[in-house]
Amino acid sequence: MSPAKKAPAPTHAHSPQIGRIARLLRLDPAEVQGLDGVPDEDLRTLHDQISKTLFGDAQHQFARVAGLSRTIPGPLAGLLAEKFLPPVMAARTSEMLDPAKARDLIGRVSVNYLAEIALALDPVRSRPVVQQLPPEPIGRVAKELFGRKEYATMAEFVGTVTVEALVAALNVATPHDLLAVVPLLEWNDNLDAVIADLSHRQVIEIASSLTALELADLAMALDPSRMGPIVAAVPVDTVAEIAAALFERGEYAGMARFVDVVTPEMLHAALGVATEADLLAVVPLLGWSEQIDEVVDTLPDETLDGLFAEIALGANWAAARTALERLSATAQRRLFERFDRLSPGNQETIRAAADAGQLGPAASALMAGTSA
Amino acid sequence: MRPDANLETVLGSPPPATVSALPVDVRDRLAAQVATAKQQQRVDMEASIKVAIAGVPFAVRGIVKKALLG
Repeated sequence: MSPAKKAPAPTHAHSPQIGRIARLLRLDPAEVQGLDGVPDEDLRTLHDQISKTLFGDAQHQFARVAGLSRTIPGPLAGLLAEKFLPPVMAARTSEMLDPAKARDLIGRVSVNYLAEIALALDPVRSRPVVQQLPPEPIGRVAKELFGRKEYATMAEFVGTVTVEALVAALNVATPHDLLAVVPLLEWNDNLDAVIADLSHRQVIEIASSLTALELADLAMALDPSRMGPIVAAVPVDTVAEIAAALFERGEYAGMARFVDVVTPEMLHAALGVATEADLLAVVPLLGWSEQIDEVVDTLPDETLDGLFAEIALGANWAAARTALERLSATAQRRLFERFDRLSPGNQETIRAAADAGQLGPAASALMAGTSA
Repeated sequence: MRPDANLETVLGSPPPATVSALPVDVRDRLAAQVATAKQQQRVDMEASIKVAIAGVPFAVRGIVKKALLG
């Protein structure tokens, strides 16, 4: 196995919720200190309390500004808003706009201004208005926000926008944008539909422009069923690199989820880079199938020797028993036919464990056929 | 930081229990930040209104003024 450089899982310097609070207070997230251990749900509540404190008294003024948009012509309203209404206040006003007026105004202000407003919008309060907006300008704003790497804020709006707007937004995402935003997303049916329906162009881009380590990060952030089309586009050699990275991180459970969406060639490539300790850890987690049997049955003899030695040296009999019971009869027989190749000490350990029933009935039966 | 800064007072309602359980210096700093932001928001709002009224074309100034100031 080629040594893979350990890739850290994607991390974010600040919680998205702390970022929202900071934005509300017009501070840098680093200036909002001491809230790191507070659950997201409570940070949302705190955000709303702060928002009410800041803007509650001015609600009537925002309502008047929103009402003003009905009185003066659209082109002038857009011009005045961008020139005189700071984005945070425009956001509060937007939440009170008549949806038809919002649809008109969104085309009359700059994308930069809209992006600033989007950053200050409340995803819940703005939903009735945002849902009425056409997807095209939302796609343009999304492009601007992706460019600014405002992933956390964008993730907040997954439940706010329509499917069409979500498609427009994710269509302008680069593979690296997706890599950054996906771990932050709260999944819903809309998102499932959009990810499952990513354009062929995007799928190919993701599979070809992300490194193996980045694809490994994406794989751990996505449900395998959602990752399916991307997996299918990944070359087998890259699968081996992804597997090596994930084995090194000990992401056994995360990897095991993918067994149903990879091809036999991919499975072979992935198990081919596993150490004996990796095999012992991951095999008990795999949902078993004939496909896995076929791959395991063709593991090289040296791997089986190493696996047997690992079982003896690790002395984790519960894991060893599960792994051995999961192997096909062919693989079990092949393994125990190589019992004599173990060192005398390891033979003694395995025999004692089998005699004590710690390796399961199949192992005990096969041990009976080995020379004492 | 104002010596009387208190998060619950500034917010007008008790914060979530996990926030109330934070060290007092964290809560007081946050309270001061909220109070400062509120003051700034008032100043900005007043400034925006003044600039908007002064800056809009004369033909619509009356409408804008009435809408913003009541």
